[in-house]
Amino acid sequence: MKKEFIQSEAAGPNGWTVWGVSGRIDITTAEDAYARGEEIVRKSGKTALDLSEVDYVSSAGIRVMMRLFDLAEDNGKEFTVVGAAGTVARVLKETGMDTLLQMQETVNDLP
Amino acid sequence: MRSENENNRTPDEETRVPEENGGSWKFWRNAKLSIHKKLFFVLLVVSAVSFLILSIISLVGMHIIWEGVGAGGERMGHKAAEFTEDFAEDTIRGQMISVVAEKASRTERVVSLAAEEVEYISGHLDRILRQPADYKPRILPQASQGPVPSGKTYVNISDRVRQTEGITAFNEEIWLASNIADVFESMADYYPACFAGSIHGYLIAADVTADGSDKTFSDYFKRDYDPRTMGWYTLGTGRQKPAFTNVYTDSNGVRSVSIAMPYHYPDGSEAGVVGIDFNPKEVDDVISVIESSDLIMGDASFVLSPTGEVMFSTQKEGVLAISETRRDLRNSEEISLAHAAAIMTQGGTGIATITADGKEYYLAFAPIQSVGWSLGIVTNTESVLKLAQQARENIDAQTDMFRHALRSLFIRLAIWAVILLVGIFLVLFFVSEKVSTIFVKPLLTVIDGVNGIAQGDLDRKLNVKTGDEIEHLADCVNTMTDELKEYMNNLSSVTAEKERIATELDLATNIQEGMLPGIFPTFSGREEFDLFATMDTAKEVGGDFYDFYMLDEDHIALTVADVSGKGVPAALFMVIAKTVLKNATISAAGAYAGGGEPDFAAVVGQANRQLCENNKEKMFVTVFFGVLDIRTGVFAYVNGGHNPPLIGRAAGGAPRAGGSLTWDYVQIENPGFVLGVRKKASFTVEHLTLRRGDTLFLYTDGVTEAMDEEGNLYGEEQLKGYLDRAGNKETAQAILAAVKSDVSRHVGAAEQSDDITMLALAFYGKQSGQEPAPQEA
Repeated sequence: MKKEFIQSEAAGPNGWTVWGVSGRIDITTAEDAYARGEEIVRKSGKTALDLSEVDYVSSAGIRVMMRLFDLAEDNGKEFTVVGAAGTVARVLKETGMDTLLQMQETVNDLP
Repeated sequence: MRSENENNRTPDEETRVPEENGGSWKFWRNAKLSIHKKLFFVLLVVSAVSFLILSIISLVGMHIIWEGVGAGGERMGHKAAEFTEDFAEDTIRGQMISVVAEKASRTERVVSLAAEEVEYISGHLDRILRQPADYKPRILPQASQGPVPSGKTYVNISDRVRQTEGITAFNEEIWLASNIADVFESMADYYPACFAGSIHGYLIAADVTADGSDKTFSDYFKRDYDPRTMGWYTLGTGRQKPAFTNVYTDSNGVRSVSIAMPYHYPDGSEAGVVGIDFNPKEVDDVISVIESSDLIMGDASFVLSPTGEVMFSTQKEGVLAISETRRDLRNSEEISLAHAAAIMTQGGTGIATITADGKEYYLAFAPIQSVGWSLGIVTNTESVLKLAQQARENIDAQTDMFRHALRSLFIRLAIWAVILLVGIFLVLFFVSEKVSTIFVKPLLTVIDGVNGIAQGDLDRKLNVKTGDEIEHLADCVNTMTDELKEYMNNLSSVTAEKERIATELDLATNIQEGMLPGIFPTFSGREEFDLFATMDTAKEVGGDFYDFYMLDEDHIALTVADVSGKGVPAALFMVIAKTVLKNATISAAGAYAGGGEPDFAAVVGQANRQLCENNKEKMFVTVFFGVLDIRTGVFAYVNGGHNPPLIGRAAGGAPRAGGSLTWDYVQIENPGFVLGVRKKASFTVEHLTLRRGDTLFLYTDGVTEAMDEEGNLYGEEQLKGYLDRAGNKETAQAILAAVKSDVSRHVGAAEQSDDITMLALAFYGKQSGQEPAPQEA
C-alpha cells in the first residue's frame, strides 16, 4: 500500500535533528522534500534523514539526498541517512550513496 | 446544444418512474419539463387547488345553510302553523266574547228603552190618579160600541167584568185614567199595543193593526175579557221594575213580548198593571245581524231568560231554538250546555265549549243585565278549527314553497358555482400560461444568448432588465463571457507557447530517440550474438538511454543508463552523458590494438569528471557499462550506481537450440557511484564470462520500479522469477517483449511513471574461428 508522503522533524541523540519522511521520495515529492530538507539542514548542525518509513526512493530522491549532502558539506554541517531498509537500502547501495553518506541503521546509532 | 442532447435521451430514461419513497416529488424532479411548463403547472395546480378548496367550502357551506335554513324553516313553519292555529282559535274566541258583549249591550239598549216607556206610562198614570184635579174626565170609545181606528185609545169593560164589579162605580176613575190616551197614542208609532189593565177589570188600550185598518174586537173580548187574568198582568203585578214576558204569539198571530209593571193609587196600592207590546223583531234584528267578519262564523245566537228558557234565537230548530215547551236549558241532558246555561242565568260572561244537537260549539255569552237575560253566540268549533287549520296549511304550504325555492336556489347556485369553476379554471389556465411566459421569457433570452455564446459568439451581450435573479444571471453570463473572451485571448497565446514547447519537446524526444541505435537487427551478419534493445518513454521526454557499438571486430560496448529527473534538463544531460561516455570509450579502445584491454574504470571515471563539470544542478546518471569480447565471451563491466543486470545461464544449449536459461543477478562487488556528482568517485572493472547460449539482460529501474495502482513495485524478485519462468525465448527481442508484457500486466491501469529501457544480448560465440568459444559449463 502506498504511504502518504508526510514529513516530520524531531530532536535526536547527540545534537542530531531527525527529519522523518514517510511514503515515497520520487519525482512528484522530490521538490517538497528538498525544500523541507534544505530548511532543516540550514538551521541544524547535524541532520539525519530517517528513511525507515519510506517505501521507495527514485533517482530524484537520490538527487535530493545528494544535493542536501553537498549543501551540508558546503556549509560545514553534517547530513546523513538512517533507517534505510529493503528496496530503499538496496537503491542507496546500488547508487553508491551508502559510501557517500555515513548511513546508520537506526537513530540511536547516530554518532 | 444542450437541449438537443436532452431531446436525444432514450425513451427508457424519459419514461422511467422512480420507485423510491417520495416518488411523486422525485417524479417531479425527474420529469424533464421546461421551467415554463413547471411554472405553468405550479401556478395552475396551486390556483386550481385553492379555488377548488374554496368552491368545496362554499358548496358545503351552502349545503349546510340549505340544510339548516330548510330544517329551521320547516320547524319555524310548523311552529308558526301551530301558533297560527292557536292564535286563530284564540282570536275567534276573543272576538266571539267581544261580539257577544257588544250584542248584549245593544240588546240591552233596545229592551231598556221599551222598559223605560213602560215606567213612563206607569208614572204618568200614577200622577193622573194622584192629582185628579189636574185632569178633566175623558170619555174614550168603548170596544163594545164597535171598531176604533188603528192606534186610537179605547176602553173595554167586558160583560163579565160589568157583572162582577158593578163597573159604574168606577166610571169617574175610568174617565180620569182615560187621560193616558195621549201618551198611548204618542207611542203608537213604536209599539203595536199600549195598555193599562185596572185592578177593577177594565182595560184602556191602544192597538195598532198590522195593515192600519180599524181595530175590531172579538166577541170574547167584549163579553169575557178580563185583563187581570192575562199573563202580562200576573207578570207585572207587584213589580218595582218593568217585567218582560217570554215571546208569545198573540191573538192576531203576531209574535210579541209584553212588558208590564203596576201603577198605583195615591195611597200606594196597586191600581192595575200597565204594559206595552214589544215587537221581538227588534231583538231578533239585533241578535241575528252578525257583524261582517272573516273570523267570526257565528252559527247561532240566542237570548236566555233568567229561568233558562230560550226567548230569542236565530235557530229555527234544535235545542237552541225557541221552545214551545219552555224548556229550561239548565236541565239539558247535555252537561256542558246545562253548565253554561246555569252560568248564563247567573249573569256570567265568558266562553265555553258545549255540545248541542251532537255538535261541538263555542258558546260566548254576556248578560243583558236590565232584564236579567243572557245573550249567547255559538260557533261550530269545526269551522273555527277549520279556519285555524287552513291558516296552518297555508303556512305549511308556504314553508314547503320556501323549502322548494331554497332547494332550487341551491341547485342554481351549485350550477353557477360549477360553471364559474370551469370558467375560472380556464381563466387560470390562460393566466398561468401567460404568467409562465412572462417569467420564462427572460430565461429564454438568456438561454438563446448562452447558446449563441456557446457557438462562439463571444461578442454577444445578454440584455435582460427584469431586476431579479435572472437579470443577475444575465449579468453574470455577460461578465463570464467577457472573462472567457479575455481568457481565450490569453489562452491562445499560452496555447501557442505550449504548443511550441510541446513541439520542441516532441522534437527533443525524437532527437533523443534518434540518438539511440534503433534499427534492428543492427549487426546483420553477426552470428556471435543476438542483441535487442527497447526504450518505452514515459509521458515526458526522459533521461534513460541505452547504447551499443562495436569497438573493433570483436568487441561490442553495451550501455544502459538512467539520468536523474525528467524533461529537457534530463534529456540534455542524457545526450551529454551518452556522448561523453562513448567518446571516452572509443578514445580508450585503441588499447585493443595493443593486445590489452582498455581501462574501463578510467573511461567511466573520465566520463564522470566531464559530467561533473559545471553540474550545479547535481544532475546525475546511473550507468551500467560493459564490453563483451565476442570471441571469448569475457564481459568486462563497470557499474556507476546502476541496477545490477541479470544473466541467464544456458543449459542444454541456447533456447533456440532447445536449451533453457537459469537467471541470476550479476554480482557486483563494487557498485560504484553515480556519474556526474562526485569528481573523485572511483570505479572498478569487473569481469564475467559468457558461455554459448548465455543471455545478458540489462535494464533501468523503470522495469523493477514499475508500479501498479496500489503502489506496489514490480521488483527485482519478480523480474528474476518471471525470467526463470518465461525468459526461455529464442530471441532477445522475444525476451524483451515478454518482460514488457509482464511489466504491463503488473502496472495494469496505472500510469507509466518512468522510462522502461531494456537491452538483451544472447551470446552464441564464434561459430568458426581460430579461438573456440568457451564451452558450456
